[in-house]
Amino acid sequence: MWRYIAQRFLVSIPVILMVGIITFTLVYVGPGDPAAIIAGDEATPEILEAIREDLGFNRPFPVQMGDWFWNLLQGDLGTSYFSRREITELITPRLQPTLSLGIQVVVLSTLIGISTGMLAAWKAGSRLDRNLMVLAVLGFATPGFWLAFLVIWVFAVNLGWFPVLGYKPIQDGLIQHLHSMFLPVMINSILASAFISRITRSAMLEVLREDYIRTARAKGASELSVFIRHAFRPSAIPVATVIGASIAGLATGFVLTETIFAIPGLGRMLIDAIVRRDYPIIQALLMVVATVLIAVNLLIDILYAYIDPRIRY
Amino acid sequence: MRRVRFPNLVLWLLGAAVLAIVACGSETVTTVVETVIVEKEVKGDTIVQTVVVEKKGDTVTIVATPTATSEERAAAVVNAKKGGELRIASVGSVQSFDPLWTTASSTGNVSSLILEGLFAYKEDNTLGKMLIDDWTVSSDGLKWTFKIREGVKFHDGAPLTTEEVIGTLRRQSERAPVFKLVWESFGPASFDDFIKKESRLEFSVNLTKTTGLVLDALGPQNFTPQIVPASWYTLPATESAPGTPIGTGPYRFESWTPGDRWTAIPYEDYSPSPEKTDGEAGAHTAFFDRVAYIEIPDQATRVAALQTDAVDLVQEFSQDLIDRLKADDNIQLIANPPLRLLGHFNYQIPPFNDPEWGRDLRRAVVMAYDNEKALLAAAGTPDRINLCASLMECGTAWESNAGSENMYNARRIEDARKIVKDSGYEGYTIRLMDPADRQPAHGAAQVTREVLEDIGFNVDLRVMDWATMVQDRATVDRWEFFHTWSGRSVRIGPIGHLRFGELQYNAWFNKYTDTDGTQRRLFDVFSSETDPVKIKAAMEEFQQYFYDDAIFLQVGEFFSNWAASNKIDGLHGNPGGQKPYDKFFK
Repeated sequence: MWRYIAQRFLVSIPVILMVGIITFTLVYVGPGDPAAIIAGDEATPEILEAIREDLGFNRPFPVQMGDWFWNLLQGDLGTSYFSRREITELITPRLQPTLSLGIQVVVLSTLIGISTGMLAAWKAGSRLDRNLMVLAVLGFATPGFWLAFLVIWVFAVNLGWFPVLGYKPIQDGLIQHLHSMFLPVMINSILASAFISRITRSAMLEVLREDYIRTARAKGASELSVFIRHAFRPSAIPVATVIGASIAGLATGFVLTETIFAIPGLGRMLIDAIVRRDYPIIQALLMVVATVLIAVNLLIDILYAYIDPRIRY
Repeated sequence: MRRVRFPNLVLWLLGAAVLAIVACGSETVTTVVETVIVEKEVKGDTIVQTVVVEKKGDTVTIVATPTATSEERAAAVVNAKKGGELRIASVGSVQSFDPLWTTASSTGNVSSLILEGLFAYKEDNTLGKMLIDDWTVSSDGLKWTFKIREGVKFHDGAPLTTEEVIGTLRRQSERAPVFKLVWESFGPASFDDFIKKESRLEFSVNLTKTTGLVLDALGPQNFTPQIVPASWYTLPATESAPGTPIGTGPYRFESWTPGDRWTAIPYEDYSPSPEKTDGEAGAHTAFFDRVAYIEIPDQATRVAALQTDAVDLVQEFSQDLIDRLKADDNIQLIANPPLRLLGHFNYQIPPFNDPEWGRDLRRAVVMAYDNEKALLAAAGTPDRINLCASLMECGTAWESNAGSENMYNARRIEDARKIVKDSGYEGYTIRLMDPADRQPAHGAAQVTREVLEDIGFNVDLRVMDWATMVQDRATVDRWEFFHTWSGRSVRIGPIGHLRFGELQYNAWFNKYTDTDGTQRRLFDVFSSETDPVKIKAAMEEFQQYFYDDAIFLQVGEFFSNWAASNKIDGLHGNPGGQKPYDKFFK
């Protein structure tokens, strides 16, 4: 097992390097000129050239990429073209909002998705099952931005129950923090839980048809025991896969959520950087996201072995 | 009868509740606008009052805040109370606090609170003193000696002296366009000979030829020389200052949470100008205990934040949300000064640079153009557009229709089609850049596509984001036409509006070359002439020349609004009207 984890970890290193090369190349060849954005509409060619020289754009591509990788290996993500601040310094305060949002959404969507999926499987074929699955289909068919505007309008503007914006860090108090994050967490959780619910239901139904479930029931095991002890654990592998995939989806979903709810997280930072063509920030954030996703995949693989002890590598 | 189980009942009740809330909510924002009237009262060259009224049946409602007179505002300020936090929804994400380095609007907010220049504009668009105490001019008009106000302190407690003024002017000398023009055209070669220190509080501007632009050179412009301490002015002009701003303004920097907000608080040792408050000039008062610029990138969220009292002032929002704001009794709308929509031809490649047909083809596009349709596509509603053929702002003394007859909004499709056919360019593909993330340019591009196709061109509509267009327009062979827009300030007259705007030399947009030197001759009149009558005559001549040569496509004027809580007093659309100083809660 430990050997497997070590192998997977080592394999991740060239993957991250490839991600780095691809993102750097794409950003380099992509359209847009930060110097033109910095200089404004009324810049002269001399000013543009001076800014390009100052930012190091006039160096050859391999030199720029080599410098970037060399700095990256030393833990230096670079400096923003616009703020002239270290990117690590800019990213640090943005981590908490995104991580908090991510953790809350993953926990809540997993709880909602698994419980509704199990409920639907338990009452398979009933009206409750059909209603839950209709809601699940609505959940993953509903555009996130539309749902976000709807809940803002209903729960913030009309009812006034939750704030439209105003992110409160955890240091200001847990209750205030959760209250300020309620709407974005709910929206993302509803959307993410829909898919988890569908997969949980179908995985459970498959397992419930197995002979050993019939045997357990014949031996007098209660329905709750059959569901939790005998059926859920074997069905958890596809569910874990889906949760892993939904985390990858959340990384892109947060760009939208953080923009709509004005949450000062990494998703907003990425969009701002793209609009301005602040290349060092774009590259740094893509590397951070890629690293997180690779780590999540690794964790899911390890989780497989925990869920099903027969799985050994 | 079938029994409804509890879980199902809960699900359906929840759905019904959401639908009911949605249905009830929608009733509150339905507004039918029948007629919109815009009234303007013009005194001299200044619009002193703009009233937008909306007529619904027999009911007439003022929907945009009338711009109060200076006397009315002065009377209101006398009764003003200090206190409270002003929360402004900021459009962009602030990346740099150095407005001497970038013209980004999110950075420009720093200028509104923290930094001050030597001069600022009054409501009548003339210059008023800020950090300057007084000045004298030598009898030959070649030496201007300026005295800085005594007792002004930076926010770190250091006194303001000529060192900081000269240092700031030196840093901005390559970027501030009017300063650069005066230095290059009327001053000696060396900066040290041009700007000299006379004493601790005096400096001089030394010329080789007289000009009427000396005060303008030191005043507001792009990259305005706003006076900063040595830690900033010693940096190269191409480098953003990394720290937080230190100035002499009524507010000082307090805090910054990246991606969320930055705040400023009153500067207790602020030394206001002894001049009466007038527009952006004169004495300012920091009425609020704190001013916060809160980043809210989404337009609908900004409006929702205003409606839920999470912010007090919203700088920008999409026009489809305006009915929602008009229906809210707690919100005031403030009309902004107009913006001018235009379209640029590429003069460096065919067909618009064709030595024989280029001018006629440009004229063909202008004479065929449906300006009204393009403005509506750009701005949304008839009350937000103004069919203005004038290069200078309509409604001011500079307004002119010279050269625009049968050219502006003429829709002469048949005449234009004949020109394109005769030129041999029929079927030629025009690459039209369309920045889909900027509605004014995006809307106009859709109409331009129709017009170009109607007169015989093929169109390659290149949809892109603004940042890509900013890069592509600087590359000669990537485009034939694109739209942009600009402010319509009449400040500094035609020299500021045109020479440093769309028609400046050697910039990306002015690859245009006047073959007979008319443009340069008239621009020289703008910069060296001091008689307003002669400048106006030159302006008329230039506009005639502009339409004859079809230098670019003048589409017209459009308007935008700000929206604010009714709790704030002192907001209006005149110069300085929307800056946070001199405003207060009722």
